[in-house]
Amino acid sequence: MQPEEARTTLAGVSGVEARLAEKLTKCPPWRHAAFGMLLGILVASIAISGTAQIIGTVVVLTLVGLLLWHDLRRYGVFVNGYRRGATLPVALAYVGTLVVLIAAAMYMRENDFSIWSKLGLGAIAFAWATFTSVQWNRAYRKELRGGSL
Amino acid sequence: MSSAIDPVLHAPARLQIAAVLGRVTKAEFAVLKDVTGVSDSVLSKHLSALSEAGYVKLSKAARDGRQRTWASLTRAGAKAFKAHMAALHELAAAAEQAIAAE
Repeated sequence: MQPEEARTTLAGVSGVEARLAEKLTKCPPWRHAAFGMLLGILVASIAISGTAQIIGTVVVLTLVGLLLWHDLRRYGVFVNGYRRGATLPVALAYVGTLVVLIAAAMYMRENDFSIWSKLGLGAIAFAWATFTSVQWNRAYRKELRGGSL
Repeated sequence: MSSAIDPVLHAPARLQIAAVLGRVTKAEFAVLKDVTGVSDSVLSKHLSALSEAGYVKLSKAARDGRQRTWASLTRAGAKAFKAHMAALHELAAAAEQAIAAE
């Protein structure tokens, strides 16, 4: 292979990745909010009571299935959120905060905090997860537009 | 040159398919066709070649009453893609150095 052919081939790969970025990262605001709602419901239900936690977990699992179904239909691809690359720090920060929020929710349940405090924690979880979803999408788009390897 | 050009990935369309699959966990046939801009028959041919080389795993799933083909990059495929891209970058860099030296 000649060097000029190598350059043309690399440009072709970058073009394909840019088209992929255009196709996959046009994520509507409601989709980020839906992801945030998953964590919000989970954290709030854990904080409220054991029964609420069971109901909340079932609701969250159902919503996860619906979101997955929607994403596969709309985008025709599946992307693992914990994939290697620029998105991994965002995903790990999300998991770290998730652990802290769940611990806080359990503490609130054990110590009979008011319902408003518990719902407030759920709202914080919602806001954090929505923000994380936006950041993950940005990191993914940046990676795809940055070119291969 | 430390990396070698992979003959399986030499065709630009095949390399582009691998590039897309390297960025997602799995992709549907229609998406690969749309992003790479090749025809159904060309895409089928390239996917078969990549699958035979063990670089791509193909699976079928029903959606809206129709069978859809999904493709994902295997570990061997990801490794080959990375090595091939490194070889291309080395070639391109060598050419730039030669131009700069002139």
